[in-house]
Amino acid sequence: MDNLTPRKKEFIKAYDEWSDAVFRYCLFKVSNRDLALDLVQETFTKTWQYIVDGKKVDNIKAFVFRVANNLIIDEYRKSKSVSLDEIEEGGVEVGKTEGSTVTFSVEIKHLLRVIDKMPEKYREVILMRYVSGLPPKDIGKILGVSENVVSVRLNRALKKIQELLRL
Amino acid sequence: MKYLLKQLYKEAKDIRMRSSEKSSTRSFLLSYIEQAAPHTTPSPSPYFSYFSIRTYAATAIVAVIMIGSGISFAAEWAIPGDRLYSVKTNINEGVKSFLAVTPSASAEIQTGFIETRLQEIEKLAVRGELTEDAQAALEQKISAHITEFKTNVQKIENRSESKTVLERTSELESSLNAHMNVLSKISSVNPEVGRVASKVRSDVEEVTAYREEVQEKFATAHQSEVRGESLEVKRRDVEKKIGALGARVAAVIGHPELSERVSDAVRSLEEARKFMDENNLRQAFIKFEDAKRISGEVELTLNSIEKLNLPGTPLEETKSVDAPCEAGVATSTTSTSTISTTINSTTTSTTTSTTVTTSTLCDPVSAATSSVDTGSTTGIIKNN
Repeated sequence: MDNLTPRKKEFIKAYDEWSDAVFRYCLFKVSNRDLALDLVQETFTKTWQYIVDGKKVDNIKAFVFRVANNLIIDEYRKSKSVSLDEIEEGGVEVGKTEGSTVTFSVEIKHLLRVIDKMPEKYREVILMRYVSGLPPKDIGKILGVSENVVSVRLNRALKKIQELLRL
Repeated sequence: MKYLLKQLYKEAKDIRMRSSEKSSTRSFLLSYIEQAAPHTTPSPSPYFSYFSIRTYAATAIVAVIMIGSGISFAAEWAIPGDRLYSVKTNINEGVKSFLAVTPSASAEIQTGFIETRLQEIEKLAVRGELTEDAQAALEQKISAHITEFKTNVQKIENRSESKTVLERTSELESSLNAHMNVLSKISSVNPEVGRVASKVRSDVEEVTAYREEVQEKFATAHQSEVRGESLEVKRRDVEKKIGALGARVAAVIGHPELSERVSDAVRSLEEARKFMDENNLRQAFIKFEDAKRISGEVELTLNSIEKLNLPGTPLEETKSVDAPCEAGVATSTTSTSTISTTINSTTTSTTTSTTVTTSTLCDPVSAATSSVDTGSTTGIIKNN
């Protein structure tokens, strides 16, 4: 690590910092642990290729999510869409650290089912905001829309969830 | 509402890559960034190891043309010697391999290919068209698929996912066992498949030994987590499968070993339920997997028996030795097999009666008009 150039060091630091969040986002989108791991690796190799090709990356966090999102869209084209329910019922191991498994509380399972039923444009902003913890500004950069559009989508999505949960 | 979303963030935050996964991807990236040059095709993920990206692209283009023209669909039924056979193995199967992006999916695909090759051998043997060259070529392909299967399973094992290894290995064992049964049946009338039958037998032995080893590892591994919800899904699947098999097995005549195998599957299912009640989820998983493997084997054997129209044990064996054989006197004997399983707190009882009119069997002239009546009844008795 010490003999790496500053650019490479910065890239590896970004991996250390954001790989779990990217993995989490991919897992919630594709509901397949192996596939999510492959997507993380592919995301970072594509990001590095973009960098060595001499193109500029202003916000590496937003950039890697954008790449991951595009790869997921490609994956959807190749295979059938999967539901968040499969994370709960399909036996997908969402490994926490060393072998332990995350078990969601009953209310979160219910919430995930509701999110699963929402249109894709609302579903993705909710997952980016509340699963990956990204601010609306970064979500806007990932999706190629303004921060304002993201905030509107988030508000509409939350209203929809409220209706479906009858809160 | 806000509390719920905060809670979602809090709970989801615990989902992360295992440290072994994170460090192996990090090592890959470190070597990748040392090698990657501008404007080159990125190195593929180690899980994309079959062809080069260029081969994928070429395969995809040809596949689109083939699919569009219906050739690809028609090729699915091709066997060695047919003009479309190379489309089936190079294009159709190339696309399937391309779409299997994970080691687990690739292992599953290889099991499918092995099964297809064995079906091709069986089909050719039944038609009397299995030449020495065709048999050797197919055997070679099967060995290559098995090697590819092992490579993928090794990758899964390196990730300490013994549960997935167990599932994939059980599937292969199930398929090999089924085709070993079918080839043995064919070899009694067509000895030329004896060599491939004994090769499959040795593959079965190897896979069974490996599966038992994996089962043992899985039973004790620290990372082997089994969740109750996924076990419930497995339980429902296995029950459904065994339930459907009962009637099918009862409807085929002369293959009594299949009823015995269904009984084995039912026994494993019952043991799994017992372990589940005791909250021993790992053992329950192993037993459900056993039941799934055995019932899968029966299902595949039945499929081949039906497709190839394979004869069972000769019906004369059920005839009474002392039965009078007088012209015009119809004497009948009945062979009955019953499979009784307890599924979803109900007892499914399937009975098949096979009646052979011996008068026609005694009289060679009237043998042409001999009749075999098969009656099948399925009853569901509530188990209160």
